[in-house]
Amino acid sequence: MKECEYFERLISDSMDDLLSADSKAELVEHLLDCERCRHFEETLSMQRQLLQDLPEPVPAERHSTRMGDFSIERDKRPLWKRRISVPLPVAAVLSIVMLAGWLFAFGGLSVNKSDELRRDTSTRAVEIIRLAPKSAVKIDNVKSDSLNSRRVI
Amino acid sequence: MEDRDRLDWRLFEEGDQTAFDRIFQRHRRHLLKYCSYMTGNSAVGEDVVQETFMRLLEQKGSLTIRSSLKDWLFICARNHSLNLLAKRRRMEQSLPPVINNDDCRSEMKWLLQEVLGKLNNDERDLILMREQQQYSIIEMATLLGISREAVRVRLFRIRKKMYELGKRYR
Ligand SMILES: [Zn+2]
Repeated sequence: MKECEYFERLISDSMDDLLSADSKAELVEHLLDCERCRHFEETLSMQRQLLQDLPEPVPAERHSTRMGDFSIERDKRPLWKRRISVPLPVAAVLSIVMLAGWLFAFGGLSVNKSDELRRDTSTRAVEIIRLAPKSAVKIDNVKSDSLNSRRVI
Repeated sequence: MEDRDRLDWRLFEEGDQTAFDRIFQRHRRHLLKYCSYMTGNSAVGEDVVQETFMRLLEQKGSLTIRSSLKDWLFICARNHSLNLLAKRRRMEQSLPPVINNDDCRSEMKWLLQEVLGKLNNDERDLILMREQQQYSIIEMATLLGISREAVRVRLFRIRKKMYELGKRYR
């Protein structure tokens, strides 16, 4: 009589549809007699079923793991949709509106205030103008970013 | 390439962004399952899947596929997962269960995840390919560039190991 190890191989092969009719008959016959191999066969079938039924992972909400090395910033959107935040024309218009708003607000305020305050607001206006190149830089960033995205997509 | 994938890829290359989303939706789930159970972390799995689709985006206009887009995506995701795992410290060889909630309240599924975590990366890769992704022996041999006999023998060893591990856990 053949060793159970031989039949264990047949059991594995049968799961991959690799058994000839003869081997299949041989295995069936052995399984009738051998409880050990029956248990092996049942366990493997169950494992297969469980592997196929493993649930789809839910969107990851940081269950604590030992995989700290993998920590990556989370963002639910697909990667290729993450890049563009503000389209260039909107950014430009926003910057201009903000700049005008600041000038108007502080300019308007200063009309009713003392010279001191007026001097103060004028320095603020200067400051805003001094800041303007910075917002221009920001626009450039947005621009190059959206260009990047366009290149990637 | 499967017909729908082939069509959607062509539409995407012609400028239809929604076609890419369709490809994404069609393949995301099975890739996510593999990557999550392979790395032992669904957050990592998700990142690997996104990275995989980023790579696909970069292939616009130059994609050459031997068998199917599905296989291309799978191999890309698989390589990425294996690369990440290779970078991990050896100390942390055993992976934690991926699903730790009501979805996995069955004790057997929990046990199976523990067993999966005890396999080495190659073993877990092979058994997931066969049972979860349901690649045939022939397909696995082709994708992995090894003989069918090698796949067959290795699957037997893995199943036997899982059987023994399962006994120990019980
Ligand atoms: Zn036996």
